[in-house]
Amino acid sequence: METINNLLNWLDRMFMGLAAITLFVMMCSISFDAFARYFFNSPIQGQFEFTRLYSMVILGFMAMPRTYVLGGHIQLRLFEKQLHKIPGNPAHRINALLVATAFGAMSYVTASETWHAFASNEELFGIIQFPMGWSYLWLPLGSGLMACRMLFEVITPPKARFNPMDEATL
Amino acid sequence: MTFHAVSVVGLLLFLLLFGMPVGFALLVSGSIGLLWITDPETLLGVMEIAPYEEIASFSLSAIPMFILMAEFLTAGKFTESIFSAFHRWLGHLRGGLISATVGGGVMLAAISGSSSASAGTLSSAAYPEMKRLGYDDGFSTGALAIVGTLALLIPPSIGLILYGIMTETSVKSLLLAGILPGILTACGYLATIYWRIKLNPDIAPIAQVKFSRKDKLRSLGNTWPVIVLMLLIFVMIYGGIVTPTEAGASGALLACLLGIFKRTLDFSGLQSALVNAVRISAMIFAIIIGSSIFGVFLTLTGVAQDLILSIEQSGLPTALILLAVLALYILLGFFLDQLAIIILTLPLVFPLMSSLDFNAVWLGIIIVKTAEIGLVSPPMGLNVFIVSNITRVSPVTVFRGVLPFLLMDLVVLALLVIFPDITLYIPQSIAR
Repeated sequence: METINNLLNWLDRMFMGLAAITLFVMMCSISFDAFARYFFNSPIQGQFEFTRLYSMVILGFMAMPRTYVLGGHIQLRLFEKQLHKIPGNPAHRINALLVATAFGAMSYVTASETWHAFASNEELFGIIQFPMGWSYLWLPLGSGLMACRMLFEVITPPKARFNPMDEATL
Repeated sequence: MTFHAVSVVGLLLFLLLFGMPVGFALLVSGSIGLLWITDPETLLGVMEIAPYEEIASFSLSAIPMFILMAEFLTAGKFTESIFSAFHRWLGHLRGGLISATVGGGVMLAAISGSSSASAGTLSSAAYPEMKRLGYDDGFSTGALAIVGTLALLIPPSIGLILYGIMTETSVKSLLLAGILPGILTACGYLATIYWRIKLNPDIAPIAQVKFSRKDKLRSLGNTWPVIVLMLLIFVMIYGGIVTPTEAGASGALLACLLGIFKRTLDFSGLQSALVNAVRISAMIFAIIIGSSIFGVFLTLTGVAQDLILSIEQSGLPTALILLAVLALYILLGFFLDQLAIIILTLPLVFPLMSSLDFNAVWLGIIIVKTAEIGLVSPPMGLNVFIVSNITRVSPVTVFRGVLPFLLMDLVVLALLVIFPDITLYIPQSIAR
């Protein structure tokens, strides 16, 4: 179990790191595009699509598992103490199983779509033909890791989450 | 179909009470609802398209950009220097430190848009000095918690940007509309401080140390990056030079470069700011992903139309419906985060209020202002817990200190409801 936990943590951190780098790239590309358009009347071609199709999707899906582990997702903590006192923590296990099923289904169905996009060389119609497979890819990866994390927590529910107000680290 | 909708909303509340994160609860309950009223193929089809379509949006990218800017300014210690300058100018007055907190809060709000970041920064900068001077704990921490909420109203507000994206209302108009209500709220807080000190002067002793003119002028020197950034964003957005997303990105890049240039932002600060911004964005996006599935379910049940129809047929006065909606927002604010409330409720509330001919921009300000009250209301007021966590003052004491400010918030809300021109004056003047 320790090995699986370490592997999941390692993947969480890798995905979070990718999302952080993406955010930095996104900030630079949007700024340079605005700068180039305003001062040189020459916007960066494809910046809009790059942000929409790749950066936002990476940011939305890849950071989700690590944010969950860090306790960063908003939740009601009204009965947290009482629920944790029940032997075997059934509430958390049931929650985790439901979430794992939903994300598992999402991962499965988007993986098929991604596979199809890569196999058929699906591209966005426009001046720059962006490959769509690389846009879809982050959905099955992010939701797949989320499903694995939740399945792991069905078997071994965590004792307590980190305080969401603590300093974040990779 | 209404029965299905009510049952699934009940399931959603049940999951939330059992501690499931909001975004995940929306995803699970929405999926179960879709499975109930359609079939597995439809559910998988929605799962394949809806979350991707919702997240792959350029306008949504304004949210991480403004969050990142706030994180860079905090990591680069610029936000602390704002409070420090106000402290030097107002600190010698009775209650001057608290007034300095309000002034700092307004400026922080004008650059950050993140309420929790604002409350956290002001608490760590102001509370030690307030404690040293013998300010009443409830009064000082209550003021720190409430001042953070200004960030939700004064532009660039993440709540208003989210409202604009979700309801397809002009983000620029919303941000403009937030200015006067934000200033009115800040004036309300200053009036509350004045009134409280007048009733009981012991809660805010006069500081013995006076700062020299040289000290005061020097303190302004550290605030110029923030002032320049604030003005630049204002001119860029309202001058129509860039979109709100581009203003956020340029602001974040400038904040980052200023931090590096002034040697206040090192590599670990940069990394921490990025990870914090990603984490907060991921939290918001998870709710949006969940609501994309839940939204399809609600649309298929047609519950929004049913609700509008039944309210229209009931003949209830619109003022009463507005009051009921505001009461719902205040009630939800007791338990849930403000951004979560906005995403959760808008698919139902916005069509209903639009059908009653409420102005979308005014409604956005009213909803965000009402949700703002929840940030400091017991039992879940996030800002109260952030201030309590940093100052080590019990949440009960902070809640007690917040109460007079909450009453003022309700007065300001009533003024905004009765006089819509306060909200609409600036956007309508600029549109002319």
